[in-house]
Amino acid sequence: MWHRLIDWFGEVRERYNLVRDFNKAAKNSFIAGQAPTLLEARVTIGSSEFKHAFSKFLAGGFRIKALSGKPLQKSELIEIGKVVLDNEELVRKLVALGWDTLEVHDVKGYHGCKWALKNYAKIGGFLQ
Amino acid sequence: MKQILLQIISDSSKMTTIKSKSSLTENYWFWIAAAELGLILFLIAKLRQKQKVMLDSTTKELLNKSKNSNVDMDNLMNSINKSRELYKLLSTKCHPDRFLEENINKKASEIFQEISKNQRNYNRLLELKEIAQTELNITI
Repeated sequence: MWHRLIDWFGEVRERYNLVRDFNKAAKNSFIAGQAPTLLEARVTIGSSEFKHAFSKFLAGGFRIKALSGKPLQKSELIEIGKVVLDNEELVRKLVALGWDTLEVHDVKGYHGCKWALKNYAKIGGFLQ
Repeated sequence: MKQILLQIISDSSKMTTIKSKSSLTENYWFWIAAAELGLILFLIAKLRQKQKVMLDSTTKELLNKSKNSNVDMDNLMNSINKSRELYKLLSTKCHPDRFLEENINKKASEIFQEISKNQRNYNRLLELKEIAQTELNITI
């Protein structure tokens, strides 16, 4: 029981750290002038059709949202998503920590792209 | 005697009104408790369903390893912002068709394959740029 509780708190901390690290790196690159758009990672509900064995209840979405700066085109949104999905280590970590959906959204509105992380994480064949 | 009887009757009527009120509130609490019980049972069922996923030891190890792995977020940001241009530059400069000598052509095709494989990994592209400069004798 205690083992499970400790595991659960450890996972929560890891999830928080991952989002914080992403936001910090995005902020630094925006301030340094390397990135034309400020990105921010958020935790969302995610999509029920992308759920897998480790999905967190009502917190399975990892959303990257453009906050300010240059508005992004659809091709740029797709490119951001592909960069994240090509990073196998990051995708595995996201799946292991309970995320199932990757969402990339623009500054305005609710239009964006989403991908099922289980299709890109090569952790055996258990993610059904 | 008559007064006592009247008092007893009025007391009993009061008791019945209190009883009916208390049964109403009891009913209310009963439904809340039933809803809570339902929620608990639902969560237990979900937990059991999750436990059914059997993992072999290697997968478990891989899962724990990936949970605790450190992702280089600076590289990720650089990949988002800069990798596209670097990939275009490298793929044109290191294209195998540019090198006619057989040995260098072979090396160039290997490097080109590696570049295409890591087109969205900025750090790896920088490494490949260095390799291309030394092995193919080109300036990028």
